[in-house]
Amino acid sequence: MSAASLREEEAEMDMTPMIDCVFQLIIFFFLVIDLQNQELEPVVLPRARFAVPDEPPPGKVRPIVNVLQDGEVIYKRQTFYKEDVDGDSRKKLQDLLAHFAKNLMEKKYDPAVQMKLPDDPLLIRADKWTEMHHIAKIMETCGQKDVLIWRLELAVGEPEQKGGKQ
Amino acid sequence: MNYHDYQKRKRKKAKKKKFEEAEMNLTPMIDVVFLLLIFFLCLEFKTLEGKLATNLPKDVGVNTSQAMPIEKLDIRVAQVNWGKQVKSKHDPRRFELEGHKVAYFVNARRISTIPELERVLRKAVKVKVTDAKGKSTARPITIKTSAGVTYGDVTELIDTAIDSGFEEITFGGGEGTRKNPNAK
Repeated sequence: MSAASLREEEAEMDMTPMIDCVFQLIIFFFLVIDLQNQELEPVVLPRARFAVPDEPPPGKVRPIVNVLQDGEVIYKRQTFYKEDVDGDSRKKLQDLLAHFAKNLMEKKYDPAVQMKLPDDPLLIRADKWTEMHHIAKIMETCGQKDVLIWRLELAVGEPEQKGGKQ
Repeated sequence: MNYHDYQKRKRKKAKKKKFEEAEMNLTPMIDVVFLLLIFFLCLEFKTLEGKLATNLPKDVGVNTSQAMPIEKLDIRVAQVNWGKQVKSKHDPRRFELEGHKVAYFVNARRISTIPELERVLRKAVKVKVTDAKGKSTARPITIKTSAGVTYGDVTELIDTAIDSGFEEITFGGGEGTRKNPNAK
């Protein structure tokens, strides 16, 4: 072996630490993304053509409630209403919405009702086939005295692509 | 150096060379890993969703001021056929409704399809009212839902209303809280 080729071999880089770093990065991003999506339950949203893209401001905690097909209301992976368990009692749900109205939403004076009302919307994410009476329960609770949330946003998916799968 | 030593060194060198040739090139692996990283990141960030803005009535029962009556367009969504409940192919924990059908009642007129609803709403949006600030706008829509109507039916209606040019959509009362007797 010539001296020149020996020198060339010595200059070869060890890739192992780099691969380690890349794997660490993958794990890190997976964890970060998982934490970010803690508010979003895996529901199949209905499609809409004229929806406004939902781009949450970074770092802001948004009031989002997820409604599953059986009417279970979930916020940050915690159940706040389940028909089988809670029946007609919506105490936990009302407390959650009151917490949203008090701590997460900006309040603005409304001359029509002569009082301050929460001005930020509540985002409802429900499955396409969730019956409206489950969502109507949330709407009713929004009108309670200590909540008074009047702006709602209904989450929808991207419009269906022609020839694409649903 | 004698001949034996020379042969021994030559064999050693050849052995070393063979060992060197077996070294793996890791560059494609790194490329693949980077591509995977980008793919998964894109996949996760693709969960961007849309939203439809609506309102709830601001009836809080303490208001003493004189409310200005505003002409509204009432739309009621009623279930025609609940449909057959079948397990979703993608997620067995979910169900889908085969043959689910609803009808829309704009004031008293019954509408069965979305294109027909769109035509009616495009006509209705031309009727303007003056809001509290004196601005001429389309009438606010009030949605009332009957038992058996789903979230998808309502978002479809709102989407059509927005497409037709309506801006203010409010949920009214109705039988919306009544459970569908056909549901399991």
